[in-house]
Amino acid sequence: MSIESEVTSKGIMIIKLIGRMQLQDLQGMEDTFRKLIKGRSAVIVDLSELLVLFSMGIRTLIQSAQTVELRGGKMVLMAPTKDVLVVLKASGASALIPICADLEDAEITVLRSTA
Amino acid sequence: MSLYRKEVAASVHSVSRIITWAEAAARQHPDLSSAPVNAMLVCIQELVSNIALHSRRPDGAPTVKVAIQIDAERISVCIEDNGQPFDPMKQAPIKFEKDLASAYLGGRGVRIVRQLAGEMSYVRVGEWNRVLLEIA
Repeated sequence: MSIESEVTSKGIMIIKLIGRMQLQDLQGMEDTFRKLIKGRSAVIVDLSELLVLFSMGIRTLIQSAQTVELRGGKMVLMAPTKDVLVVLKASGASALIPICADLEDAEITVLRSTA
Repeated sequence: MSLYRKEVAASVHSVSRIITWAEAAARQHPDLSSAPVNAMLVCIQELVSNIALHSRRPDGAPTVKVAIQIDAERISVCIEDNGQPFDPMKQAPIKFEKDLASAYLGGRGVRIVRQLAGEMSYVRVGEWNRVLLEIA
């Protein structure tokens, strides 16, 4: 799995997960998320190209969302594939972190929450 | 009905090998719909990852055996390891979480498996943990 990121002109951190999440990715994912969300109050995690998600990755997503929320911000998940959405629902994570269909929806959600 | 078997020493890297093998087994059955195949792969990944990370033997890495039985209507999975006794059925289910702030970080792997597999059972046979899943 690879991770890409960018900061938009509106100051939103977009973190994109690409490929298949594997057990050996998890420490790196945790470290990367910690660095990327530092100081950020609007975070979008783009799942549109993530093929496989499992519980330890969900742990990092929940922990990151909690960190962002603690500083008054919002993190959302964007455009999960059908297979990833099944896992998000089965884990209960879909009830904890908003899931947005596309970038426009995600931007509105994170910016509204931080306004 | 087709039966596939794989045996590896439990490790972080062997999880990937098992998933690759399980995907290849599923590809032999193009009539299977994607939902049960995905459920099977996720369940195997969760349970074998747990073994790789937490299962221990005093004389080295535990052995993991995975058997997949595929017929027209269902997938049966048997995952065995010879680490210390561990019954995932006894792991307390995560209680309903009212919000993100109070959410648990861990314990979701078994919850995912319970949700995706229609039936799940555990038995300890000699020195082996055995988890059986039925995925329709």
